[in-house]
Amino acid sequence: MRSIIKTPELPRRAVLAGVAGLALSSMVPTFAFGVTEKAAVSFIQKVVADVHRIINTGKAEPQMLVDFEAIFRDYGEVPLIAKTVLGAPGRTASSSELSAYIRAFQGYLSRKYGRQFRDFAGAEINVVKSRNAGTKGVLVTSMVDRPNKPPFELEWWVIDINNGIKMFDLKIEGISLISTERTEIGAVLESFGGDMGKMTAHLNAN
Amino acid sequence: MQTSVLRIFGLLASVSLVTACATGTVPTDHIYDPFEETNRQIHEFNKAVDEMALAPAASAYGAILPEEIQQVIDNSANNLELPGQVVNHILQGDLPDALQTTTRFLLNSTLGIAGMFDPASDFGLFEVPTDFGETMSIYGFAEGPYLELPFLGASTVRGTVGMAVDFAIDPIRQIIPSPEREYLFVLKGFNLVGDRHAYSDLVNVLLYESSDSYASQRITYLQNMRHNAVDEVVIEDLEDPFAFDY
Repeated sequence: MRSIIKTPELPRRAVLAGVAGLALSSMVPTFAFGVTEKAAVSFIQKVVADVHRIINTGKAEPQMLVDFEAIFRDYGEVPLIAKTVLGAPGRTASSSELSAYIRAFQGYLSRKYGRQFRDFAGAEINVVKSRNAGTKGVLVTSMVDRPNKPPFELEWWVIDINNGIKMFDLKIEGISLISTERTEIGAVLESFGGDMGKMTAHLNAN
Repeated sequence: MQTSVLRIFGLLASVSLVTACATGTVPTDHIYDPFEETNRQIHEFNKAVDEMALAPAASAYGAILPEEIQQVIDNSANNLELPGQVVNHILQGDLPDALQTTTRFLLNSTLGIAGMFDPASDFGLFEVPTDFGETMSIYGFAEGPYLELPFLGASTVRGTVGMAVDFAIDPIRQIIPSPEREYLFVLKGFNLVGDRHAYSDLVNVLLYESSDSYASQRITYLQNMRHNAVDEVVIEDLEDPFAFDY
């Protein structure tokens, strides 16, 4: 089992409150869980700040897509997302096939979802809620507010993995990136008769 | 109004025989599609309709009509859907949304000149879309098999019954007399073309850039519909994110 997200830097007041709380030993586990969720929330707030910076600077589209790729690379657990989406066929693939696929998937993902984030221009993303899913991580819900348009929900699934807090899934109004891409990658692989190399080439071309 | 309510319960009773099996929430990934073969044929038909009629009409619509007129058509069509949504919000016991939708309708029908403009959104009174399918889900009806309907697209058995009920109980149909009422279909037709134009990027990605557009549309529809019906996912239903951490 994985340890739940490491203790983040705490603001001074929270530390003082925590010290006071430690006096009551029964509060300790609750306190620890709260920190986890808090770390996940501040992680997403960092991601959101970066997204805001990209969509509101009015850069040209190709530059924006490059920036989005960096967001996916830095904040997303892309190799795990790629393997989850691929499912069982990944376990029997050779390691060179697998790493070529993961590389192709990263570019494909950034291009496809970067285009969607581009439509958020002028929007403000606000974290409104978080839920602890125990060893499965934390769900952080944010609302995307656009001028004069109904807000919509963007939910982030954050996990704690060897190298820290990372993004696992993203849901726009309930529609999951993992589920959507599992459908797509499954269909592409099937259309090439299960040939990983051809599927990877297809991703690179799309 | 009383007759509509009776009609709802009559339909509910007959539907309960069809869908009253397992109720409650289903994992967001779940797919129950026993009619897949037929559904796929209908999907191909719908795609052909889109390719030959709807998509060309939508690009003509976008090219010919000024954006202001497109907005007026969109607003007017939306305004006519609000009374039906109020009925469903009330049936769902959601009074805040019923109130917001009622206020939106009153404001846009008066200040917004019969719904042509949308001053309500300036006050943050946005549409909270809902339908009888959602009402049924709140009353515990299972969604039933996935269906793709000719011309209408993705649905489920529950969603299809809901659509029929929404049509039957729509207060607009009770209020507006017959010949005028029929003109509204023209407006709705225009709005459908307008929506196809407004969401052309999304629709094109789904229908023409997916490797299996049927499966993509199915998962997209089901997850969005479940999200609207249930509000939040059940933690226990989340898949193990580390299942493929090899």
